Amino acid sequence: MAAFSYQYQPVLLDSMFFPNNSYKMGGFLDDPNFNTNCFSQFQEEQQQPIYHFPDISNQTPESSTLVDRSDSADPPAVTVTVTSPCSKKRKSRNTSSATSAHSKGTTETTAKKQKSKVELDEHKEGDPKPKNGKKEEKKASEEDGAATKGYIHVRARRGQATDSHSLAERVRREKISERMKTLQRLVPGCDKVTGKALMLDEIINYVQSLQNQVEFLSMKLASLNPIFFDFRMDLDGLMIQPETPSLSSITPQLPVIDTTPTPAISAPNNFPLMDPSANSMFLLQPGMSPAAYSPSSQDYVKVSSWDVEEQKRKLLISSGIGDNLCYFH
Amino acid sequence: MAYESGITPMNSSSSSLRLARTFLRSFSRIKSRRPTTAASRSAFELRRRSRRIKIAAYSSMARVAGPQRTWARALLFKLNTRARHRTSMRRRCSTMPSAYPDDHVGKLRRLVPGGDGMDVCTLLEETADYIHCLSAQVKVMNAIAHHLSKN
Repeated sequence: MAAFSYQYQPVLLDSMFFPNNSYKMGGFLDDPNFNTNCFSQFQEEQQQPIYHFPDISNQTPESSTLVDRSDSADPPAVTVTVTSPCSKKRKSRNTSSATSAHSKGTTETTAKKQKSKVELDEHKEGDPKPKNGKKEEKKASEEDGAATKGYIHVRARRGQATDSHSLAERVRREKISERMKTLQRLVPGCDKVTGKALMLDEIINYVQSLQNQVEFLSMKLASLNPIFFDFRMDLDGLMIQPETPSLSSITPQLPVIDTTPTPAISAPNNFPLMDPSANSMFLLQPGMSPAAYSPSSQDYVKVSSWDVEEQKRKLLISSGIGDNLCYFH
Repeated sequence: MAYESGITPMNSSSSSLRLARTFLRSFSRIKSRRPTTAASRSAFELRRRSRRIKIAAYSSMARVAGPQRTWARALLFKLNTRARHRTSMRRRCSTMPSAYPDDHVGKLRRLVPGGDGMDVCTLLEETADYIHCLSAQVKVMNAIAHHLSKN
């Protein structure tokens, strides 16, 4: 019995976690040791010298019938409806193994028991109850993510393939198209083109133009302000303002839309350190700047052409900052 | 609404303000480190300062985006190592052939920092976040440049 129960677990883990795993690689990369956790979980249970499907289908007819029943129960939506019976089975298997095989590592089995308890709680109530201890909490969150993800995404319609590889591939494609939609909302001019290749072209061009613009603006800032200017003194004055003027001070004040009133920038009392000599120094600077750009005139020309593009876009999207910043996080 | 993968969107204005504040702080630090006015007019000094401002811009962007973003971590790592071993990095980059394929995804991987270890889903997500932060940074820098040229 003990041998059988230990045989059964790799089957469960393979059939349950491999597709979910391959989905979760994409979404949960924030957690850098996610892969190692999952695979350590695998390794921990594959340390027993028993391996995959063919052995078990040969040796234990019960497990094979279980798998067959769950597969043939409802062919249209196969995958995740399997999980709740599996977890219940697993708990019973775990308890039986814990009672029968006391000579095995008890800590491992207790950990499994706790985990399966957490799973059952999730299936009953819908929200995970993290136990004490970091490891179990992490595992529970992973399984919760797997379960919810499975419930949401993996649906095979009639006539579609239901093996795990095509399900994983379908989920991956759905995810990619969703991200592409997000990017399409972000990148201006990207909603007119059709096709992923053209959209990726637009995205690449936009990122390149933004990077060029950062480079150009850093050059401009380096050339603009050679005198000492203490931002730390008036940083509070600049920042502790009501929301809308400070936001409008952040917007690029292009000369086309300068007709709109901009109270924050034109207010001179933000910068009490500025004196008339400083103003004259500043007025000297634009005369100097073309000579300063002479070693890199190509960049200047490129980015100035970009500026024309930006002006056009700003004219198109007059409320650009609200649109762009609402996605910023 | 943009991401369902457990990332809560922050308050947009607060993060943009944080970006502006971080960049202004490092920018003023760069400005205060400037030695003399005579040396600052040379082209070399100008280029050096513009590079410093660019590094400050990127690092403030990455710091505001937070360490849970892959591009931010990669960017900070790149900037730190480049600042430390600038010559060796340049030599290695010049001799190393480009390891990426020349399709669209390869180009995007080369553009987004830290993009060479990701799969396509993560790459697109990180690209979206990177575009947010870059556009906000461009806005901040544009506003500062406009302000300084106006006065």
